[in-house]
Amino acid sequence: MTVNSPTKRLVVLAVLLACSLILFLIESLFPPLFALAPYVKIGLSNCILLYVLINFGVGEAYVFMLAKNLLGSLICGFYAFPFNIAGSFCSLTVMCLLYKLLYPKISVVCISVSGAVVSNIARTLVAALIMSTKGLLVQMPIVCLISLPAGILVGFLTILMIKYLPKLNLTPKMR
Amino acid sequence: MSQSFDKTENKRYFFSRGDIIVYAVLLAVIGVFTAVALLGFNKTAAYAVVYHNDDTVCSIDLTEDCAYVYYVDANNKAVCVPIGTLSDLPTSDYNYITVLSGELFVSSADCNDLTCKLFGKISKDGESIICLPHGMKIIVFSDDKGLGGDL
Repeated sequence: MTVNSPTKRLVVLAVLLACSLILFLIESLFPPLFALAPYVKIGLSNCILLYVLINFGVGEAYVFMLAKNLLGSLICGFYAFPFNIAGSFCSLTVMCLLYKLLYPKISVVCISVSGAVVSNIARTLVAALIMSTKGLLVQMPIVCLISLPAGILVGFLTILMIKYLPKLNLTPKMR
Repeated sequence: MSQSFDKTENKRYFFSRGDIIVYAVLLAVIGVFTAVALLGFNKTAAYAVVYHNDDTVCSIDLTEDCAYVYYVDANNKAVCVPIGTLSDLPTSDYNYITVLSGELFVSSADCNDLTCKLFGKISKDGESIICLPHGMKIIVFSDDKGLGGDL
């Protein structure tokens, strides 16, 4: 399947956004990975964000990220919105930079792991700022360590999507 | 439906030589955070301060075992008092705070996400418990000025 017309691109992005929200909701049903930092997440929906970045480009990825967080907050409540938007924005920025500057010298899993670590660092920093509590920074080492397997999982899911979903208009680098 | 996925592509997706540098940078970041955590947050806390939307509500001595209740009264004012001092316990918007053997934790609450209970027991300088729905924040401090202060 090629996705060249704007309408087709929009439709595919909308379907991916729906999938991303479902993953977001499913993940919110599970207890936190780390009890002391409940805002730290695996970020399962990031696999779709990374997929969008690889297949559609940077602009679409940022719009997708914004839409995902706004719609996710409408469903789950706005308490977590600052954490989610900060985590997603920082994560996507790092993934964009790594993908545009270093891929294919680095792997998709490596991009995902970097995104996961930065996302959870950003979430913890936002928590420390919102609560005016620098004591939350003590959680950073554990937050980073949790992010490593989370990033690997998200990276593998992204690779599975690239491998098994119908071929989109892939960028030359990924062909 | 599925595409060919040769070994060269597999290598590019899962691992490339450049990954080593990125992982080294990430490990260095983790090392820095660990050093900060070990150096700055190993003091045992002596007291806790309870805040409501950044306003101080009360101070709690961690050397004495006691149970407290935090709630927002009819005048929208936050109160945190030992349970024994109340004749009628609050029925809504409350967090029960317990101090036991120098550790503080939220034992019960009626907030919608119960995240405050998930924070578990805190006892080291700078650790905190946060309940966003009730606007409550508890930070524990050591006697001397540690890293538990405001940002």
